[in-house]
Amino acid sequence: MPTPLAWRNVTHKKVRTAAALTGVCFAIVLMFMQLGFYDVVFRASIMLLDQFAFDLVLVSPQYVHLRASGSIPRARLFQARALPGVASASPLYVANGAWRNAATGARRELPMLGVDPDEPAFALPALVKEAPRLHELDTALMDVHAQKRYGPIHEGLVSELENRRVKVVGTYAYGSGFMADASVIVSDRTLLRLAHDASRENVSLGLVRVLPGTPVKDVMAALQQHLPADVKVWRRRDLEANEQKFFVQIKPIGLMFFSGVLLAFGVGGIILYQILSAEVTNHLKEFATLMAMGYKERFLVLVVIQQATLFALLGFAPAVVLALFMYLVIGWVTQLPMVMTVGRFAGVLVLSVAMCAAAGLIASRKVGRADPADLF
Amino acid sequence: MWRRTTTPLAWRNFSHSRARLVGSLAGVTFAVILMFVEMGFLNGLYDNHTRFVDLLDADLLLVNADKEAVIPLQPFPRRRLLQVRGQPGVASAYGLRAEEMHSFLKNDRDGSQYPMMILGFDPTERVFLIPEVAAAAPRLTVADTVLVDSRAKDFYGDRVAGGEAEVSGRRVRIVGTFPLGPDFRVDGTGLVSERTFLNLFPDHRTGETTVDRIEFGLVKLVPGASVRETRRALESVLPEDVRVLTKAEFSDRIRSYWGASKPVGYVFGTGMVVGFLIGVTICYQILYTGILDHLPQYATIKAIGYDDAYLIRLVVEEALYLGVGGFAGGLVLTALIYGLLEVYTSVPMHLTILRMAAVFVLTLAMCVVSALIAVRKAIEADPAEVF
Repeated sequence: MPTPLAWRNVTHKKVRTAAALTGVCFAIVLMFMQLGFYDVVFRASIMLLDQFAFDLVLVSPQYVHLRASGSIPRARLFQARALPGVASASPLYVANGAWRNAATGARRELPMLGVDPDEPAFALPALVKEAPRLHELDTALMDVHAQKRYGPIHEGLVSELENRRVKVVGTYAYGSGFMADASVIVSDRTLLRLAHDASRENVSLGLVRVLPGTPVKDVMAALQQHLPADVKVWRRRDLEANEQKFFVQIKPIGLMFFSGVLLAFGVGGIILYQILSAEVTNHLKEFATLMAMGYKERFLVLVVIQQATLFALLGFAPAVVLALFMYLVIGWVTQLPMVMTVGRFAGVLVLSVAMCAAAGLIASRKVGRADPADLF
Repeated sequence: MWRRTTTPLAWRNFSHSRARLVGSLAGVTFAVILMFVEMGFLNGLYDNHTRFVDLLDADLLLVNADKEAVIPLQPFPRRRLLQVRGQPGVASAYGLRAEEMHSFLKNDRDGSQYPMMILGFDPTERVFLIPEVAAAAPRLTVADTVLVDSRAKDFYGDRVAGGEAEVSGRRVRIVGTFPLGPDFRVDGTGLVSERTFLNLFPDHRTGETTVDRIEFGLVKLVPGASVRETRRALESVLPEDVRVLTKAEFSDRIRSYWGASKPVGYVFGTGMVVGFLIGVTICYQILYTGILDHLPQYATIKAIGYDDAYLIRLVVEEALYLGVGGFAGGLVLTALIYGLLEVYTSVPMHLTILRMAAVFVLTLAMCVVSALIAVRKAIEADPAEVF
C-alpha cells in the first residue's frame, strides 16, 4: 500500500485532529495522575521507615503499624546480637510528642523516634553524619520539611518537645509521608526523659542488620528459632508491606485513590472510544468510496486500527510531558514522592494503545456498514 | 436577545441523529461523573471529619487555642470549664475527655488489638446528638463499661451489647453500640463514663490521673441568650490558652487542617480540573463534528442573511442541550456510584443540592466554552465555497 492512509487521515484536518488528540491526551493524563496518586499511598506509608537501615526487624505480636507498635523486651536485642550473621540489632523507640512551634508557640503532635546514637541504625547519609550529635541530652534531628506546619526548623534552634527544652543539632530533608505530618529523631536516652510512658526495657522495634554475604533468610530462620514467641521476625519488605496494607486496604485514603484509578480507566476508555468513533464517522464517506473502489472491509478495519494507534501514540507523548509536569508541581506542593516509574510509563503506553485499538475496532464496524450508494 | 426562531433549529441539530446523540451524551456524562466523584471525595474527606462536631450537643465549644482538628489531641485545663459556668447566658458546660495514642481495643474474637479513640463524658448529661448514645448512656454509669462504634472497622471484632473486650489492658464490658464510622485518622470510637476513662488512662508521669485535662468543653446557652454576646462574655473571662468557637467555626478549622496538611485536597482538585478539561475537549469535538457535517446548512443560513450572533446562539444552545442531557445522565449514575463508594471506602458521599448546582454550573460552562471555540468553524463557512 503506497499511500499511508491512516497517517493521511490523522494529518488531513489539523484542527479536528488536534481536538481529538487533546481529548486522548487528557484521558491519558487522567490515568497517569490517578496511578501516581495511588502509588504515593504506597511510598508515603513507609517514608518514616526509609530513614532507617535494617534487613530484618523484631516486632511485637501486637504490632499494628509504626505508631501503634506495641513493644518487645530489650533483652531480645541482646539475644539477637549473639547469633551468627547478625551485624547489629538496634532498638527503636517510638512515642508521641508535642512540638512547640518556635514562631507561634502553638503545640502540635508528632512521633518521636528514639535511637541509640552509637548504633548503625540510619540509612539517610545526613542522619548517619549527624547521629553522633545526639549524644548530648535533649537534642534532636529534625526534617526541614516539617517547617510548613511546625514553625522554623534549623540547626541551633531551641524549642520545646513535650514541654522540655530541646535543641535541634542537625537537619535533613526527606518527608514523613502519611504516617505523620512530621517526625523528630532523638537519642534513646532523651526519648525516655520526654515520653512519660516509655521504658528503656520496652523497645518498639528491633532493627537488625545482617552481615554482608550472609543470606537474610538464614539469619531470619536463626532468629525465629532462638527467640521466644513474644517477638515476631519480619523481613524489611514484610514490615513495609504491613504498613502499606494498612494505608492501602484499611484507611479510606487508599480505597479512595484506588477508586480513582478504576474511574480513570473507565472514563479514559470511554472517552477514547467516543473520540475514535467520531473520527470514523467523519471519514465514513471516504471509507465508502474506498469500498466502492473495491477495497475489502478487512483493509479498512486495518486502517482504522492503525489510525487509532497513531492517535494513542500522538496523544501519549504530550500526556507524558504534562503528567511529569503535574507530578513535579503536586510533589512540590504536597511534599510527597510523586515519581514516574518505567513500569507505569510502559503500562500506560501499552494500555492506551490497546484501548485505542479496541475502540477503533468497535468503531470500525461502522465502516463495514458504509454503503456507497447511501452516501452519495 | 435569546429570541426563539419559529423552527427549534438547535434542538433539531441536537436530536437529529440518534446514534450520534447517544455517543455525545455518553462523553459528556462521563466528564460529569468524573467531576462529581472527585468533588465527592474532597467533600467526603471534610464531611468525614466534621461529622463528629455535628453530633456534639453544644451551642459553643471550648477548645485549646492550638487545637486544629478532633485529632490531634490538645487538652486544656478543666478549671476553664468551671470559669465558664455561672457566666451570663450559660446554661451548662460539660467536659469531654479523649484519648487516642494510648488507647487500644483488644477484641476477644482473635486477641488482636487496634488503636481506638476513647471519649469520656458524664453519662447523666446529654453530650451527643446521637439517639443510640442517649438511650444507652445510663448503662455507662456502671464502671468499666463501654459503648462501641458499630460502624468502626471490622478488625475490632464483634461489637454487641453483652460482649467483653479489653481497653488498654483493662477488661471492659460492651453495653451498647452507636453508629459513627471511621475517618482518615480514627478507625473506631468507644464511649465511656468519666470514671471509667480515668481508670483506663492514669497519667504515669505525675502519678495522678488525667483528671485535670479535658479535650472539649461543651457549652449550652439558656434559651434566648445571644450566642455572640455570651461568647464575648466568655472570651473576656478566659485566658489565652483556650478559645471559644461555634461548631461551624471549629468545623472550618478542621477543614483547613485536613485540606492543607494532607495532599488529598490537591489530589481531588486536580481530578476535577482534568474532568473539566476532558469535558471541554469532548464537547468541542462533538460540536465541531456537528458543524462540519452541517456546513452547507450553516452556509445557507448565512446566505439567507442571518448574522454571526445568530450562529453563535445556535451552537451555544445546542451545547446547552448537550450539557443538560449529559448532566442528567451523569447525575443518575453518580447517585449510584456514590452509594457504592460510600460502602467501599466508608467515606460519606453526600449529594447535596449545592454540590449538584456546582457541577451543573461547571458542566454548562464546559459546554459553552467548547461551543464558543467550535462556532468559529460555522462563522467561517462561506456560502460561495460550500456549494
